[in-house]
Amino acid sequence: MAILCDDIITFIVASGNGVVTAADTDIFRNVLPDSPDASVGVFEYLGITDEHSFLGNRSISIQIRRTSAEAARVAAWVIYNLLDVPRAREIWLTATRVGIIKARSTPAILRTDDTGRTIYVINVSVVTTRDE
Amino acid sequence: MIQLTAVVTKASLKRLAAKMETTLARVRTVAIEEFPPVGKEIMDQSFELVPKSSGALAHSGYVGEVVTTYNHIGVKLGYGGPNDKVNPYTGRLASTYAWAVHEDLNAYHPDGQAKYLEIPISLSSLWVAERLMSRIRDVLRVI
Repeated sequence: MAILCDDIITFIVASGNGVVTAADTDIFRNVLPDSPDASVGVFEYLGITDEHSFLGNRSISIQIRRTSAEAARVAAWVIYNLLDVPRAREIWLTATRVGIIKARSTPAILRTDDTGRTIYVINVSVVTTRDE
Repeated sequence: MIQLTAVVTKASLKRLAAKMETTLARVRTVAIEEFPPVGKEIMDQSFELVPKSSGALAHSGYVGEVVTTYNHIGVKLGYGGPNDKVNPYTGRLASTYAWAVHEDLNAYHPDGQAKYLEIPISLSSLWVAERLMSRIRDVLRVI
């Protein structure tokens, strides 16, 4: 069992949807670096633990940046549709990590930066086990 | 053999229904009374987290009125609503950027952080129910 953000990154990369190519190349954990323009940042913030089990309801925010608003919108929806599957919420992110994933919000424009790049954001909750 | 016969009359059922209605109304009243202080406590916790570079966003926080429907009771709270403030550095209303600041986990804030409202609301799930139950238990004891 690894770090949840890394497992989500692994899952998005492995899906082969064309939005990202490889971890630390154009998809990053807990940061959205200034380059490359087309990048994705996967962040974890405060979730709620379950006092009776090793499960937690964890909070993940994903930022998707592209040089055009339309490209950012399309990429955001690809990731959203990959993670939020109403009839199949239980998703094996890796061989050792399963999560019950539910979007907390639909993709929305976070902001357009100084160079005209658009950033979309998605929030999802993941009920899963602890990190190592 | 033991045999019990319970007699339920129309009048006793009416009395039971009336008592249940009264109890429900009092529980509802207690919940309505309790929500504004709960909202204030959440906003106090949020104030500790909200970025304060200009003070406009932080001081635009508000606890609004209690909202009730048939089976829901809640309280409106947030930033940039009826208590909106103008940022003295940019001239923008706090309501125009409160959401972006809230959502941007990639931004650095020396005096606060993103998710400044969602975090205390999430944490409130650990204490709001117990707070309400404690008040409701008091009501049920005196009926």
